[in-house]
Amino acid sequence: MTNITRRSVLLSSAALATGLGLSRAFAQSDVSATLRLQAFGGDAELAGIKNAIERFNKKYPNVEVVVSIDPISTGWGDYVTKVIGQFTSGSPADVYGTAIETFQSFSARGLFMPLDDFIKANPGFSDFAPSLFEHCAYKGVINYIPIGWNNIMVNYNRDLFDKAGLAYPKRGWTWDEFREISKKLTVKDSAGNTTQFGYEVPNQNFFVQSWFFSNGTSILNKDWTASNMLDPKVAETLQFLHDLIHVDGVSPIPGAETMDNQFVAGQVAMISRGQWIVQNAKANKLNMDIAVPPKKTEEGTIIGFGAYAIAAKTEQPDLAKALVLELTSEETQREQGERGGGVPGRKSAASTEAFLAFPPSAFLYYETLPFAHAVPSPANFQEVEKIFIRHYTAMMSGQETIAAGCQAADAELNQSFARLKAQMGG
Amino acid sequence: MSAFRTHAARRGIDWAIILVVGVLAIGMLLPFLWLFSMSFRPVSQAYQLPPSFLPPSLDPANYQAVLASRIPFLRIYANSLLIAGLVTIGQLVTCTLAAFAFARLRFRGRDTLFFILLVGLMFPAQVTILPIYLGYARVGLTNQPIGLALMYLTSSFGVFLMRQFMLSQPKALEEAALMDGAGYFKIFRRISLPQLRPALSALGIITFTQTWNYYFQARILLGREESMTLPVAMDVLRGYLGSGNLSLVMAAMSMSVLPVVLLFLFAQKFVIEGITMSGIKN
Amino acid sequence: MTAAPLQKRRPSDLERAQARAGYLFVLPTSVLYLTFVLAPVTLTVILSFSFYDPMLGSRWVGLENYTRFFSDPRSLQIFWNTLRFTFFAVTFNVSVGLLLAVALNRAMPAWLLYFFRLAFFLPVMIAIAFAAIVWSYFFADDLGVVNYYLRLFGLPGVRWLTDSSVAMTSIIIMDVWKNTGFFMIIFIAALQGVPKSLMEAAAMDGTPAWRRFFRITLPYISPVVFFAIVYASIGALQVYESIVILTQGGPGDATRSLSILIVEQGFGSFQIGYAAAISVVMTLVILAITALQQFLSRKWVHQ
Repeated sequence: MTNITRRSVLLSSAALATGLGLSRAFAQSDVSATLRLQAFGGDAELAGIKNAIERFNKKYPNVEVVVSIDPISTGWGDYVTKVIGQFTSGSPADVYGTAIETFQSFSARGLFMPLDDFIKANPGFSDFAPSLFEHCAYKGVINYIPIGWNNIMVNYNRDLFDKAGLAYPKRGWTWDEFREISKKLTVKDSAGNTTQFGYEVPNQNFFVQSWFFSNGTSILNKDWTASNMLDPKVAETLQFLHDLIHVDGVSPIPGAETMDNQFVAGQVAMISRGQWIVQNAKANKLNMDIAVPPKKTEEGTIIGFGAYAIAAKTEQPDLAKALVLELTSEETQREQGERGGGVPGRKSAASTEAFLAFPPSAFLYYETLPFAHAVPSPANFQEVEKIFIRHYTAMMSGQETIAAGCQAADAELNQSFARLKAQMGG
Repeated sequence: MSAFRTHAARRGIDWAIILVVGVLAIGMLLPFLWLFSMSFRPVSQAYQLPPSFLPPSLDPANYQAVLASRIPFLRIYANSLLIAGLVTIGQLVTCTLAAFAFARLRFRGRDTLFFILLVGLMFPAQVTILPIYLGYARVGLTNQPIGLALMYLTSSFGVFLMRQFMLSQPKALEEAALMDGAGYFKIFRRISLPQLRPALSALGIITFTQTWNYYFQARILLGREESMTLPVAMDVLRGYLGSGNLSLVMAAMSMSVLPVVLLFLFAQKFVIEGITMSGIKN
Repeated sequence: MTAAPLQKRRPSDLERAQARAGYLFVLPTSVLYLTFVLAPVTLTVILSFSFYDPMLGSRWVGLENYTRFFSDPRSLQIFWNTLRFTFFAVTFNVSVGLLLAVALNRAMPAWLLYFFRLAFFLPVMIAIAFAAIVWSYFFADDLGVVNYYLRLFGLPGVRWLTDSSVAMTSIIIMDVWKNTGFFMIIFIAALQGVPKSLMEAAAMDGTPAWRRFFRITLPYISPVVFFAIVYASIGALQVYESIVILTQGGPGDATRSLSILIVEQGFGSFQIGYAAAISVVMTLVILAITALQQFLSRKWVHQ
């Protein structure tokens, strides 16, 4: 930080004081440069990023931060391609926002700089849930600083529970209880047409995985190097979801569109989503709460999270680090938590009154961390996701039997892993 | 079989056909009525059955929310207008010039060239966009609205369309002008183009609306919010995996379709001229 | 494909002037085309013989990408989906567009004409994201609009998007709604070129309307009809958005098209070489179909 020449009386937040950890925390710098930030998300994320950059610019008034944002509307695959393209053409951004689904894809290609020393130098990061950093390591090196995370919870409409005379779900509820509750929450009109569904069997890879974890299994093996589709528990889980649709009729068949807005409109009583759903619910004054996903053999859910990384060959490593500090600061995180879009990675930011105010059981988010499993995200994640979801939709629509679907998915997944091995070795 | 009767029929206006077309037209419009009415409602009323197609009130809250969001909507609007405008003008010029050459002029390699141009139609944007993106990144054209416009300043489609129109046009006037010693550019400008007004406005409308709605390309090339176009901005509004507020998206869409509607109403005057005049005669 | 030049036999200086003008007229298009189509396409062909991933180590793989495509049992289904979609989408888009154009090409109050044209063209103007939202609502199983009205009339609901044997039909319905106005506009413009005197004379003779259409109108606009068919076919063979927004290619592979596969492999999984190979195959298919249409057109297109 030799560029810092002028001290400033301007005091930033306490989080920054500990966060910066770079000898002169309160200095205002007149270094002028341009930093490029490639971020992801929607309007809410953009708002948080903008505010963080404003704070960053108080310390670095002459550093222009140019933000690009990608809405990730079609999954992470396109984003990976875009980022790799930026590096290939020799014009990468300095700082990248991304998510766990992409970590191995990027790290395997050596796109980002190791941040282990940076993390050690900033004791402020100890505020983060330690398991987050564990997921950020690839072959023992950390390339990512976590921001917010999302775990899949069962979000439910309290008004509809009240109307059906049902008690709200408690921790430790089981699949069978869930099933019975779903049936009671499903309403049909006189012609037998469903007007209100008890649950939405998810249509996205990320949302559906919690069902496998709560049955003590997963679609991939523990170290994400092979398929686990032939585990009978995988078939059992899929059969359960299938029966929710075709036997009990408590859920529509999952299609291309997610049903978030139907949940807000009160046509779906329960839905498996992360904390990002709160934003829309709040805006529409939906009386909702969250519950830990029901268990078969154990409590279990899935966690995914966003993170920032710094391009390995950035010309402004120090500025980039300073920007990342601001983007992951307590203030930024607190804002994010209150606005919705993810649970702040810093526990302090997730303990504010505003964050805990809505949904009423917001404290549950952190309680799931001990049994929240990371999204299985090998370097061929994009293929894995597509293979799984293709067979999953075929099985849920009844086009493919559960047994045949598991077999076929297993074969394709293992082919993909074999290809990955050949490509990495080559 | 009166479906094929033309304006020349002496029996005047054929109300039976108009009635059938009218019912169809209203059917086509229902989704748009739903869109418009949704932009004045909260999400909680979005998916009610039976669907309702009229706005309950004209409360502009959702519109205000779009304009107040962190997405610089007006700037994005301007980007879309700039790109679509440039591309439309560009194509009207380049495509008609080339089409005239292919339809009316003889030069060596003409048919081969036309064939190669036609082959270009066969590659979707999904194939060509990645190399273009890599090239743009090298020369600094990513995140520049002008970069997206540049790609589409000509199109095989436009050339092909205009050539077909020119082919179906009588040549007599042009030949006479040539005999009088007029240059080819003058013939093109003074004789061919005026005859092509319906085709030109058709190409203009099509090009403008297509460019206005480019999504895949725009998302790859234009990531900065200051350089975004409307379809990408709407995607941002729709939020992570469709979790955004639907009413807001509908308000944004209502606003974004407005310029194309106006342009269409304006441009179709040219297509329409011939018919209305004979309509008056009747 | 050959167009008669203005002058067949002329002194050579005029021929030269004509050629010079010709080259000059096609110059802007050629330069742009070279840069934005031909160069990327050439690169795609080259990439189709490689494993391309600079940071993992790119290398040549010969025909490996092609053999992977042709040995994958999924390819056949995806191929078949694409052709099926193309056949029906082209047929309905072009014929409905032509019918609408003819229906609107008649005397009626101007405001009504404006309204009709706008109504049929509006779907073309709207962003695909809107079509996604509205049609998933229309086509939903129990909470869907179409099924709501079907049930109102005592008919059973249809699983429009989640039944693998119906999903493609639903996509085609949406596609025709979205795109037929596009062809309508082209045909409306083309109908303006049909000489009115000819039509009036035929009407005087008492030639029935349908015969006038087939004897005069259709031959007259046949170059444009041919264009519409070729263009619609090429577009349909590349179908991407219409499917992605409704089913994302599912359930299973029931509605996946070649373009979706290309995007999934190229953009979704960074299998650039493999995606390039599928693109090349797709282009060859499109080329063959276009050539066939070109060949058949000699029988019916008047130039």
